[in-house]
Amino acid sequence: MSKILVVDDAAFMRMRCTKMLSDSGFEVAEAADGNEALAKYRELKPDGVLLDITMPELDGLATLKELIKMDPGARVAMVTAMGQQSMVIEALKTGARDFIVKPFDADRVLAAVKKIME
Amino acid sequence: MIQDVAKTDIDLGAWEELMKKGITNAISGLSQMVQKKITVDSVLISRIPAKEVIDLVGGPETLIVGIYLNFSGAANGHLMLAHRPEVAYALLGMILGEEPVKRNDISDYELSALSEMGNITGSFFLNAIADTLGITLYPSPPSVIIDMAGAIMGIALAEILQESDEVMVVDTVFTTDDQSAGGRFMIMPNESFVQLSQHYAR
Amino acid sequence: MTASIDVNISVGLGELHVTKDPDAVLICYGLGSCVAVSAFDPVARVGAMAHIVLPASNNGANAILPVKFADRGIPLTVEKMEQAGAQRSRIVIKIAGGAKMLRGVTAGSVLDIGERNIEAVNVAMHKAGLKIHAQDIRGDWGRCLWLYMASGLTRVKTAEQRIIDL
Repeated sequence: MSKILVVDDAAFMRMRCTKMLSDSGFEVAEAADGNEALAKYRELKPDGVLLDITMPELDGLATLKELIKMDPGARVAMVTAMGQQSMVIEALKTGARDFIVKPFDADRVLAAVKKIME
Repeated sequence: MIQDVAKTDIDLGAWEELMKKGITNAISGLSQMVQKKITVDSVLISRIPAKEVIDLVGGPETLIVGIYLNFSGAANGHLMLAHRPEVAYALLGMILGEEPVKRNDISDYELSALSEMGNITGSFFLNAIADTLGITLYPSPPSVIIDMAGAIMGIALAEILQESDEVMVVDTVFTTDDQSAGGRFMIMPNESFVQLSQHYAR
Repeated sequence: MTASIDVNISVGLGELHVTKDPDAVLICYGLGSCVAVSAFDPVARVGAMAHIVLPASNNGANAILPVKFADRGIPLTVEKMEQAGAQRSRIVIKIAGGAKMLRGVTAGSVLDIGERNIEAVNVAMHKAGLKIHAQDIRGDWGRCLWLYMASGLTRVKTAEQRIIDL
């Protein structure tokens, strides 16, 4: 069973995402901020990561940079309300494989997970 | 489409158009989140004393649910969603797909749903501005505060009052089309944000 | 016997109100990081309330709001009270506010305006030769401060209607 790490500072978003993924048969782990995300990635070695951008202390882009440094093969999709073009470009350049703008529905999330796992 | 913008003696031209774009996108994001059509009832752009800004939300001792965030990057400023508690709880019910929360002891999970509402509204506002001008504007994570309006608005007002005695405010009042909820979305920009119109006027 | 009618006077951000009216009630509503300063001379029956917003002016520019900044606002408050007949040595000072409304801000950092306001008010009081007799400060909640001229009573109320008499 594939394991996905969901990273978002809002408990509500983590819950939503987790439900959508586990309903589709994924194993899900959660992290509430960038530092916790890095720690959990090291510990659990998930098959994919859904990563928010706007978070306290270490934001999503900084976390993405660290994840790619840690594991150049990391499969990350950004899931964020911050859909500015400059952000999308920077995230994809840094190594994110997909970019979802919130609010999202289950289909969009599942499509992203499929895409990053290819 | 926002047609009428009430102003008080300010000629902001291009910046006003930019604000309308941002507000339209912000309300669109909020609408997607609560899964209801939302109408903008009014937009007021005004440069007024700090205490009048607080009067817009009912006065300094009025209890409100405030979802506050600020932004930085190419410009700085403050954003806030403000609602009377019962209205905030009605919106919360829509987001959670439940009946409006009626009690006063709102859970952390429910607070995070409100926080996310602020995140989406604020980010969508900034996204429209940023992409129109080809710049980046970074929102902070939101804070949900349930307390007296004066204490919450003071977060933005104190920062603005450091440089000026008056506050520029863009105040948008909106309602869901089924009249079941609404609120206000307030933008309190720093001077750097007002100056962005220079770019737009190109 | 005629009942006196309380005259509620709301003191907004950066405002100062000085009075000798025994029916007056001076009030600062919705204090977050702001600090409300209540000053009362019980002999001359002169009272004042100042709504302080910021610790100090950066550039020395004159603000229209008279007591926006603690460093200018406190001496101005004392001066106005003395002009109204108060004696500095008799003035009783009580303060409220200085909360940290945002969780993300580190307590005591430059972004903690509430804490900086408390410090600035203390410094200004010391410079003016005044002592702070009582205070209800800090925390992460809003407050209202009342000064009842008839009795000199200074009272704090929170959003949950918790009452603290200073």
